[in-house]
Amino acid sequence: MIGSIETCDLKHTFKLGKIDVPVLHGINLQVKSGEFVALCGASGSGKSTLLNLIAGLTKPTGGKIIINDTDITNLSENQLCLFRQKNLGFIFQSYNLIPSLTALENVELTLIFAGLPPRERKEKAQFFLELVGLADRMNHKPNELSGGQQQRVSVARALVNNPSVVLADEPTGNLDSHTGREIMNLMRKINIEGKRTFLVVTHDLSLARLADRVIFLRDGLVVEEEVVA
Amino acid sequence: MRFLDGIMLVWRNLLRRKSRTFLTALGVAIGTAAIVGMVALAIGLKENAVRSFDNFQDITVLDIYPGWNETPGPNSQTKQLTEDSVADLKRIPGVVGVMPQTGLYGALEVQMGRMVGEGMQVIGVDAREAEKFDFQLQEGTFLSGSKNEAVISYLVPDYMYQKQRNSRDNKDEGHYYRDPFQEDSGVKPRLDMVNKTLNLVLTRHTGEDSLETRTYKVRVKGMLSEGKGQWGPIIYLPMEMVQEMNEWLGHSGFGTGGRSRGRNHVEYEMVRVKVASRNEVEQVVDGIKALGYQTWSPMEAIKEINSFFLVVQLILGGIGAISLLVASIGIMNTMFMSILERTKEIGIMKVLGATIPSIRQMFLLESGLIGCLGGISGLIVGYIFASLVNMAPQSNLFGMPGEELGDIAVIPPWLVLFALGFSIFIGVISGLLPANRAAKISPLQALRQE
Ligand SMILES: Nc1ncnc2c1ncn2[C@@H]1O[C@H](COP(=O)(O)OP(=O)(O)OP(=O)(O)O)[C@@H](O)[C@H]1O
Ligand SMILES: [Mg+2]
Repeated sequence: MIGSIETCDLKHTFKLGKIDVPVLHGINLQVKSGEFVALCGASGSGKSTLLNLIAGLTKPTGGKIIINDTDITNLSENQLCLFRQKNLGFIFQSYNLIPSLTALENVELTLIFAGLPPRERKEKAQFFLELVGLADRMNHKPNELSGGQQQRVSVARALVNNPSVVLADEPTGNLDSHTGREIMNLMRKINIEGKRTFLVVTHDLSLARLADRVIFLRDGLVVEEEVVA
Repeated sequence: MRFLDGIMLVWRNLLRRKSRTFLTALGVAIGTAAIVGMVALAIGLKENAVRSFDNFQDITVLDIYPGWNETPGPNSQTKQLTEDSVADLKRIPGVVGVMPQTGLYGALEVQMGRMVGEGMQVIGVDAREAEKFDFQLQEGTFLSGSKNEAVISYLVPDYMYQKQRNSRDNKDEGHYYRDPFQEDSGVKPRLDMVNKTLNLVLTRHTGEDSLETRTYKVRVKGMLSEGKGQWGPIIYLPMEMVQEMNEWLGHSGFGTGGRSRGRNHVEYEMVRVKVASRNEVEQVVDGIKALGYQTWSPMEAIKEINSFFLVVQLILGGIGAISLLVASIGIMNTMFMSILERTKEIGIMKVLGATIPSIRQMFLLESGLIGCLGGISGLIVGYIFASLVNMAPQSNLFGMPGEELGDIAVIPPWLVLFALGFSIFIGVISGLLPANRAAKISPLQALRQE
């Protein structure tokens, strides 16, 4: 299914010199198309590691990852880049906007790599910036925007290539609880209206309650799943 | 990623670090300027040489004069041009024709009907070799070898003027039929002298105040084309005729007569030699000098100037090569630095879906653009250099009278394209390693950087 995420016995071990640091011990995860899933767990439990594996930023040391019915485990690095370009959106905790580019250009960047003609990509970028409520901030550089506004730009950037799956690693981690809730609500709105799958890592249980489902990780294993009513 | 988008992104990155971009491009600029200067000189000098071949005279014709010793003394002996010399000269490889010439050791007046002319140079030539010299005639034919023939140079008709009825004393006022230095001279038709008979009147002093004249009748067989042959108004006559004239003049004790001559020993004032091809000119010149005669070829002047500029060219070429090498290292260094600075950006771009080729392309574009900027500035400097060189006084360089020299440094369009292409190439080559490094950056590690 387009928009589904599935991991089968996903294992990951970091190698620090000669020392092995096992982080994930066999994760079996199933996210349905259009679902909004929150990923919770203590610091160091392996949430970011799991998300990065799903995004194809590192290769797992065991198990399989299937997104949109595509097994990405054995894709080459360049194939993974293309896969991300077409299917995934990514939202970082620290926004990671490119400081020299304006909000509009930051959003356009994704489409530049996809090779869209200037007019088309500008229209799309403007559309998504308006969607996240930044119609009047398009030509601001990141350092001229508040944290919440920067994260909105980053949400727009993650959506502009029309991905079926959006991954977010603590998108509210750098924001105050009010702004964090706004961002979470924004993502939820897009999830419902745009029918996109969201997998969001968060520490904040009250925010996690906004999701369809909360998955808890501890020491590299899924320990609990909670379906929010 | 589209090419233009790549350029746009890269351009902004370069603008972000203006002074670093400038300094990196400067190396390329110096190298390009030096190489453009070098090639421009080479092209300009070659074009000039070729042009002077065409303008000046036939390069394959050499004029040979008697040799002389630099240090006069008891042993100083001039090497005369004689019948034997002609035979010697013919033996030099590459020589196809040898034509002795002798001047007239006195003045003569040319008469044709009511027209008279003075101040003409008279040259006796050995007509037997004439056809090997490829004389270019405006009209008629060259000397055939029979007696009482003449060939005139193109300027001769311009030196004829109408004889004044009142007296010959008026001639100093100069009623030229056509003054060659007058602007409106072209209005009157040129005097047609070909196939006409001329009276050549020689005058010699026989005593304090007594003059004696002698008239030779010659028929004008042809007229040389404009700008060909020796310069000036010249009447070419058969060698024997001029020798006879000189003999007659020489009995007076005036003029340059009184030369010691053997019975069958004829001295020539000059011998013209025709060389088979341009390539053999230098070799023939060496051969002639080895025999002890004097000669001069524009080739030598060109060679001297070329060897002077060769040094300049070598210096420029050396500067160019070294500075391009250093510039290339500089670009590499700048690129590595900029990749280090932008590691995180590269990581973000990869997460956003930038492919490995597009990351590589971006950095190659960046280094190529640095090279291109350097190339453009280098071309500008090269143009300034060329115009400075061309402004320098040039007329005495080749030492040829009446010749306009073209530009010494020439920058043709292909050189512009080549210089730009080459500097971009240098930039791209220098960017290869850094671009590969950038493409290999792991997005996760890059994102961990703060
Ligand atoms: N590159 C790495 N090399 C070695 N060990 C790593 C590396 N990245 C993460 N780890 C280890 O893996 C474990 C899980 O890290 P991870 O970042 O996934 O935790 P997390 O759940 O995201 O924590 P947080 O909530 O603090 O972000 C940690 O113990 C960490 O030390
Ligand atoms: Mg984390």
